[in-house]
Amino acid sequence: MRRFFKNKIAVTISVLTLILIVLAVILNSAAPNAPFVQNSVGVIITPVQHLFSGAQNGIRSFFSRFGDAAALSEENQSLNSEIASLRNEIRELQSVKDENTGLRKMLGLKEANPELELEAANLIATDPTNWYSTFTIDKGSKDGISINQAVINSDKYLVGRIYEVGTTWARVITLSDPEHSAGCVISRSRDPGVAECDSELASQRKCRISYLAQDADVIVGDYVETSGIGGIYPAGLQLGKIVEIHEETPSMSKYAIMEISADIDHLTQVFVVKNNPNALPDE
Amino acid sequence: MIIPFYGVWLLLITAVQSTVLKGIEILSVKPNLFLIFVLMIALLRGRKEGMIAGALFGLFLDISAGRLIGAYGILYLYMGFMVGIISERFISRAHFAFSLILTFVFTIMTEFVYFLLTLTVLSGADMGYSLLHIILPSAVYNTAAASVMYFLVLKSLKFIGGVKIDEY
Repeated sequence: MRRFFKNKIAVTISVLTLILIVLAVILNSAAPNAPFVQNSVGVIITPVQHLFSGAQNGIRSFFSRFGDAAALSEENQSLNSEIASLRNEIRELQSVKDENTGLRKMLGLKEANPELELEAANLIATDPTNWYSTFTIDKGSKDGISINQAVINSDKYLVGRIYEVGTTWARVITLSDPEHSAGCVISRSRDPGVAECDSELASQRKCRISYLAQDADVIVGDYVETSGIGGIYPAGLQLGKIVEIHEETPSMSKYAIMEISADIDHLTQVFVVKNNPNALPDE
Repeated sequence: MIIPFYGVWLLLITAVQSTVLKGIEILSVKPNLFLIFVLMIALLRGRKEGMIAGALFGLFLDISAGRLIGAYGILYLYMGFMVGIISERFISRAHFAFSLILTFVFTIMTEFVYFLLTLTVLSGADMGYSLLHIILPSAVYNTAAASVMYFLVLKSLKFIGGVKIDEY
């Protein structure tokens, strides 16, 4: 035992392991809001992520240009003839136009759905790992955001739900995350099912609609929407479109594969639904 | 100088990993700068700092991902320790090609263990699919990114005079 304590490396590795296990127990325990450590890291890192998220689009378009080198060369020559200040002006105007389009869509969304209390939010960071499908938005508990609120895009397609909330940020778990599931119905026949995902389907931006009854009236091309059952999502938010139907012989049920309507990979702005018109009042 | 060095790298990697790297995803896979940095530190600074950097950077990756907090922390702690031992005992000096091989091997090892740890979370996760479409492409991409990160970390360490092993 004395020899163990004399070995600095062994003591260091044991202490660090112990600290990490204690932190894991504390931070992984269920809490309505992000624990202090996560919230503090989020508050510090959010402004930096905000800064870098602007560069993300530039880098994406930079690498996409390698696909067509010849066209790029020609385009480059013609672009060189343009005056730098004029290009800046165009860029600024484009930015204003995009913002205007976003605001118009938001206004339209609000006017068309007066029953929904919407909060617009910008996407500032995506999941750092290759395992999950989450992103961080620039609105948090100080803006009235809380866990399990639905998140939609400007076309009113369901994107996901609030998974974790900090003071100035919130994490959204998307439809294509393996941990996400939502009660849904086939829009045409009202047959119920559950939309869930795995890594393989997620990479194709598809979901599986499980627990459909054997006699469920579902055909390829049917739209799927939230059922409102479960109390998390308001009813009537579009999830996607059926692209495949399969029979499950042993369980005498069937499942379908749905293509997700929201373009989750290219989101820049989303709307948090702060109220749920279908939720049962508290007793 | 070494604490600000880690502070700057930690802030930079945490911000870049979840923003800029989305733009260079290939087949829905992006490189893991946290893993590469820990590995480089363990190679260039030895097992003790490799362990501490592993625990710290792994924990930040866990917090950034918001799932299974502590999993990457513990994995990178032991990775830092192992790479540090390899660096100190089995190779007389940090070797560029060797750092790439280690990146490839340790990406597969850590991501595979992480996959096993998260089996309860990743419902319906298929091991074959995850190996072929997530873990192996990550290892290849990390190895490519490590070829750049190696020189960045080495340069920044030399800048603060923090290189312990003399010959490179």
